[in-house]
Amino acid sequence: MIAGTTFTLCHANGSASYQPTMYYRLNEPDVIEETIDGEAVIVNLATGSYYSADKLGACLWACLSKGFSKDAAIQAISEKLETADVDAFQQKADQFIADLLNESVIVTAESAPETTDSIQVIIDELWQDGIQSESLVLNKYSDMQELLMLDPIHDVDKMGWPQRAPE
Amino acid sequence: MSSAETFFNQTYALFCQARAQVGAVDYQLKIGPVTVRQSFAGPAMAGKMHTAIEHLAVTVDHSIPEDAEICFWDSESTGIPMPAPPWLDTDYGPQGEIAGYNDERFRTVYSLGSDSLQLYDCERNIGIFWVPSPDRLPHWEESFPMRTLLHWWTEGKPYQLIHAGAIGTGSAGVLITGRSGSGKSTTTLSCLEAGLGYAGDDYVMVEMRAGSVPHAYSLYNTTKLINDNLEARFPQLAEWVHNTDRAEGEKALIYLHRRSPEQMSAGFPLAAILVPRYTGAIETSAQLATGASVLTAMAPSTVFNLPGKNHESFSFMVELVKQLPGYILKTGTDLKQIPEALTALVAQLEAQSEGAATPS
Repeated sequence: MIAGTTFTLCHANGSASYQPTMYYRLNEPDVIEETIDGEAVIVNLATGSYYSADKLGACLWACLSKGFSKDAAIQAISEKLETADVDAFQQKADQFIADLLNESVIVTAESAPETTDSIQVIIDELWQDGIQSESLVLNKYSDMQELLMLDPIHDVDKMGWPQRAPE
Repeated sequence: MSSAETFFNQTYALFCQARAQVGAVDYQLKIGPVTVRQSFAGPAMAGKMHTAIEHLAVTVDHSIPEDAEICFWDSESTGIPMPAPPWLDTDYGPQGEIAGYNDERFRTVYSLGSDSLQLYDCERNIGIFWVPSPDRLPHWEESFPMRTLLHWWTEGKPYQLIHAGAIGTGSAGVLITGRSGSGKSTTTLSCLEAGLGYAGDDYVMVEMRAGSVPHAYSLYNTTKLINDNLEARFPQLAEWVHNTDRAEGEKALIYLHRRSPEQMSAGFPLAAILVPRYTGAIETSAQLATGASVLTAMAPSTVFNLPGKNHESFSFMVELVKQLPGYILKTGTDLKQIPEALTALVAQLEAQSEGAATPS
């Protein structure tokens, strides 16, 4: 056991093992976000991309960004889904979280973040009747990237000041 | 003394030298309740950085306290060179912010898109805008002068520059927001042509205080149109185009206060936020929008166009979206329907608001 690390018992392929419990946090200060009317709006100031997620996406985002572990979030949401939809949801959840990590929207937290929120209350506030795993989607928009100097290498004039390339 | 303060003071001293060299040109502007002075070293920069905002100019009165002073100079017309930057080429951030030269009090950004250096002292409320030559300024920078510097002035205050147009119907008005190309200009110009009040089509300043209705204030009298849109929908504006020498693909810039001065509105209370969406149908209609869709239309383009205070700006817009109803304005090909739909919506919202305020 590694001090300061929690583990979750996982069952796969007929055997049981302990896997590190994954916690995440918002990649601050680069990422800002707000959930309004059941939809999360997320902006990555460093990359120029922004995102939206509603329904199941908003639920999972709320749980993760408020400090609940991946397993706790998936478990709590699974309990509210139709039984036949749980496996599909859990697969999509892994991809959703992978996308958030790849986009540097969230990062793994070094330890379990402190939270006084109830995961059930968080999910209930965002839950909609008839919600299905198909709604677990992270919508990405990149139309603002051209406004950022993502590669700020530039020409300079004879005084050393940057200058635009000739049109 | 920090590097940022040292650099600011040195640059301000050069500005003062430049003014002494070629003469001072000053304007005082009223942006709603806010008074701003534009101080130019000579006329060269004034021609490019004042026209878009000159509809807000008032007779200079030195007895009035000013909320900010924005200083403009260039090296070519003043003969005052700017020393080489004291930072490294690798110190430029994604929005042009200079590493090590931005702290609690000072802001320093180099905008590669406009070849301009912009500095701000939050304590003295003095901004500086320097370019090597006015000729290096792109035409689009002339359409919204000192937007970044005004944006920095709003920090910690109940004001926010927002990437949006604004149209007033008399006693109230709406914000019209969305990314570039979404139809803001078509919407605002259709309303201008119908006689409505025009407060801008690219950036406005919004004031939001507890207990009061949010208020939009005009910043710029300009509009920018792609050639196809100008020719197809607003050919009557073609004779007013300023940048007749524009490059292919560059938008046509028009100073609307020259053509329709009586319709330039200083501002109004806000009744709603509209997000235009062109449908290709004939009719225009308004459909209630979710707060998230309005925030998505407004916030990213605002924070990515205006460097600094990103978190504060985002929070402001979140609160604004929660306070005002949002609508998708489904715009059609019959442009007359756009101002009709907007006017009807504002009237409906005003009636609802009065009904709610009247005790039964």
